[in-house]
Amino acid sequence: MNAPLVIKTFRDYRLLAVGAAAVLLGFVILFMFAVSSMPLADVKFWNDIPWIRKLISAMMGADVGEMFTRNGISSFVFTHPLMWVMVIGFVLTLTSGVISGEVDRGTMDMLATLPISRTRMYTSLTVVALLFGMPLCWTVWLGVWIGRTLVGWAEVQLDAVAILTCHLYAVYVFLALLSIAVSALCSRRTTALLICFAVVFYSFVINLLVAFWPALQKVAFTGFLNYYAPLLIVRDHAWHWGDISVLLAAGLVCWTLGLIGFQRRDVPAR
Amino acid sequence: MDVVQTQGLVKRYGEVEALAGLDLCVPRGSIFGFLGPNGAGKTTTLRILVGLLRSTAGSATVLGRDAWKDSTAIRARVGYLPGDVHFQDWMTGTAFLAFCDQARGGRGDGEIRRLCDRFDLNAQRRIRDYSRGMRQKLGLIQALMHRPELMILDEPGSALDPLIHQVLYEELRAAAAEGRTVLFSSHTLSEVEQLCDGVAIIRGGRLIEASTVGELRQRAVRRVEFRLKRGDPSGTEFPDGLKARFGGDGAVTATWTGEVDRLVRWLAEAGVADVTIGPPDLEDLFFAYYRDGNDA
Repeated sequence: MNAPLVIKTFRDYRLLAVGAAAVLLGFVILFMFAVSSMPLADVKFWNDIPWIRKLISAMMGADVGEMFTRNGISSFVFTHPLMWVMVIGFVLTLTSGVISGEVDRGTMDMLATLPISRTRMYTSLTVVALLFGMPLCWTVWLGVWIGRTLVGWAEVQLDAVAILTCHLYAVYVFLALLSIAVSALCSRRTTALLICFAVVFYSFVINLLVAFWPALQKVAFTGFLNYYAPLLIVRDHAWHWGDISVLLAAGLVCWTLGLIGFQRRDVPAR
Repeated sequence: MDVVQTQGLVKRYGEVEALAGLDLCVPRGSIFGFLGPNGAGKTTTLRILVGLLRSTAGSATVLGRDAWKDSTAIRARVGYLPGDVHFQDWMTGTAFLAFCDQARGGRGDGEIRRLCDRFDLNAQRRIRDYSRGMRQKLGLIQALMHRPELMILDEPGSALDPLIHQVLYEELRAAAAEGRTVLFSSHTLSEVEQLCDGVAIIRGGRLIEASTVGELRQRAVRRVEFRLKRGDPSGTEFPDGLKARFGGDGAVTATWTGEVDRLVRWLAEAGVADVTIGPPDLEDLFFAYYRDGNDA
């Protein structure tokens, strides 16, 4: 790892990170206000429409019929589309910018001719991406805590939400490791973003389709959302170590391949 | 000892062969010019030397070490200026130079200040507000600030005004006087003539000429004008190397290739009333190399 590079990258992306966290925090608090303003009976009504139940169950990782409680509904924020937009958007913006973005802009020339090995450069940028993810994911927990306090939903179990936050961070780690590997192998930022977006899109699509076509369960393991089941985590009040291990292992494999490629690749002139 | 040595250096991009077996030697303590037409392979060569590109075949050593395998160690002792400088525009020049300094161990404060003064660069401003020339200055400062043993500069004079050109030349001469080495590519022939001890000319990915500037001057064409005492020059047997054209009034306009004293001896024997011998014109020589790669 190279300290000056870590510090510089932190400075470069700190405003983006703070902005993303602020938006996320505001959204989560608003979400808590929104769901608390609806009577539980009204919310359960949606549960009786089969395709909506399947859709939400696919996003939540378990049948929502089991958990129409304040605890269960609060955990929905951990799979809300806007939450994904902020978290995935942030991690892809950061990781595509630090390597493929630098090559694309031509600024990699200056960086790559400093006496910093490519391994240290790659590791340093990874560390920054992973460190930014922690406060970002914990912002969701913070929003639930603040929201719970303001709306008076004391039954929302913060310790279960904390376990869920750690699982969300495992997803973030997988995406960060994957996308930094892709970034390291691409010379265009757009290409890196498209590849990562395709992986994300595929996972979301397969996750949803499985709910409607059980035959697709055979390939469900290929999507990272298969290893993220917010409702199950909250219901069981337990760590899903198997899911965390798969996400981290898959991320590490991608990261290692990216490192090997980055060590060997040319840095073309722009 | 040569600070840069390439042997049979090849670089292919798919079907395209950018370098086709380059053999290059750059002596220590010299200012060495690297010339060639566009697409000849100059930038590719320089990028291989600093570890940005990996050669397809052949070898490249810098400061006695393999340019690819030992590139991190080499980069601690080398300063590099890319042909096209790009920076992160949201940084100030000061912040960028401070980052480079810290990445190199953080001992360059004084030298950074000195170079910013010398190159007349206000480094406090954001790089996005810099003109092309200011960016070039910033690139030069980052390449020179750690007083490297070897400076590899891709078209260093690009976008600089004449005053700053002189500052750059002074800095490079001072570096060479200290035993440090400069390898730079250029399209400005006068710059090469002024600065360089040695020159390598590359075309089509191959070295076609490597020589000192002095030797090249020997081979360069000079313009000669003279008038013989006897008036009419027709029938005169001219020496090898003199290509003459007669004017209507007995004046002879010629070009001369070769040693000057041989020409002077011939003129003395022939009896001249008036003679003008111009300086060696390296431009024609270089153009000949650029055009067809043959010895000029």
